[in-house]
Amino acid sequence: MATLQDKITSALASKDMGNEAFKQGDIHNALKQYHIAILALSGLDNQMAGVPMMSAMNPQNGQVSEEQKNVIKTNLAVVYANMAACHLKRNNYKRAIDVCNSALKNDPDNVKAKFRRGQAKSAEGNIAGAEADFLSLGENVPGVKAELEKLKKMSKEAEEKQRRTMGGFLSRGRIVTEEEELELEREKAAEAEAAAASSSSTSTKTTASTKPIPKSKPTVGSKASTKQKAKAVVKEEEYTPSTWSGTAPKIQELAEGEE
Amino acid sequence: MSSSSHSQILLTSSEGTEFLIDRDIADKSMLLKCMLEDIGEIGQAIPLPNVSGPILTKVIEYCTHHRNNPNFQSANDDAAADIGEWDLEYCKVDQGTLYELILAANYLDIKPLLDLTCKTVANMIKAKTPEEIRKTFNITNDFTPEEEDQVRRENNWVDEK
Repeated sequence: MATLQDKITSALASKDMGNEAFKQGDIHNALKQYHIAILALSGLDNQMAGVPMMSAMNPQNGQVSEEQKNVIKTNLAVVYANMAACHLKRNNYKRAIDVCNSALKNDPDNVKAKFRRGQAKSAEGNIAGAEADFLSLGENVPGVKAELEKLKKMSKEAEEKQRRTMGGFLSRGRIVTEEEELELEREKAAEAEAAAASSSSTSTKTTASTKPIPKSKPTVGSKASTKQKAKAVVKEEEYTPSTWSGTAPKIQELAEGEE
Repeated sequence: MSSSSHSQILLTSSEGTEFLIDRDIADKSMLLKCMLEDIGEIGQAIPLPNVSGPILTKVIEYCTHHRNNPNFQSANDDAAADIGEWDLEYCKVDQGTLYELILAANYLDIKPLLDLTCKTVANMIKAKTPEEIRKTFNITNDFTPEEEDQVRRENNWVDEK
């Protein structure tokens, strides 16, 4: 039977192969390697060895040194966080959040896990949850500021939309005045203009995002993360391209950086 | 994804023994289920380096018995008494095996099996004196007489009833 150290070594090899596959855009293979790494790593540091009765039942267990335990936990968190990047690329936010939670259970300080969980929550429209994750990271973490700004815009738009629908329903309630309507229109026009000027590829992105992307269809390749952002915004009726086009490159950047 | 219900999955235990099981049985393990959902047919045996062959056999036996049990996923609260007859028989194993089963259930993420095995341990403790518990689990008493006295005083509500 393979020794503990052998298992750790082979798990790390799987992790590296997964990272290599991820870099080449082969999400399927990356996930496969990460899963194999998890299969080797989890259970090694069995938390139950610390329970006196358990070690009494199986006295030969307990040779896992503190150092090995740390290696196992840290790497479990890294692999789970990398899996989260894969799930984000596939727009599978639920699984992304799941694996981020697993990562944080093993290492509460894993920055990428928390960042990606924030991204997944944000893509799901869970603005408060995403905000909590990004705020707990602090603004010094690269990308957090941009994500927080994006959330602000998202919640502003949601509010705006709600106000409109409410205005229509309850005519006696507070209705958006004509001046306000005009102002909103003007804002939007300005934002759209700014977006058009901001990047050369905006035109393709805009066409990609004007219609909702079906959830079931996984997108592979470099467009995935921009699309997923776009989808989140598309949920809001009154979406403007600028709400995401400015922050998308940042997200891409962080998603690529594997350990 | 379409024909997944009839497909079979190959597992490899820590010694390298191979086990061919039906997909719906593999799905009882959340660890395997998530993996299979993420990557579909993986085209190779799934290595389970942290479960031995005999224990994996036992785990598969459990999952096979409960394969059509609709209540399988809903864990039974805290009622340690309501263990089914088959489950009761299933848990009549030596302590080492029971321990390994708990670890395997935890590793493979099979909550009902984890609940069952842990309940079994709980029942081994129930209604026993500290001395009996020590004997059952081979625990050496590392309290000094003074410490033991103090613990007893702090917890004397246990004996009142």
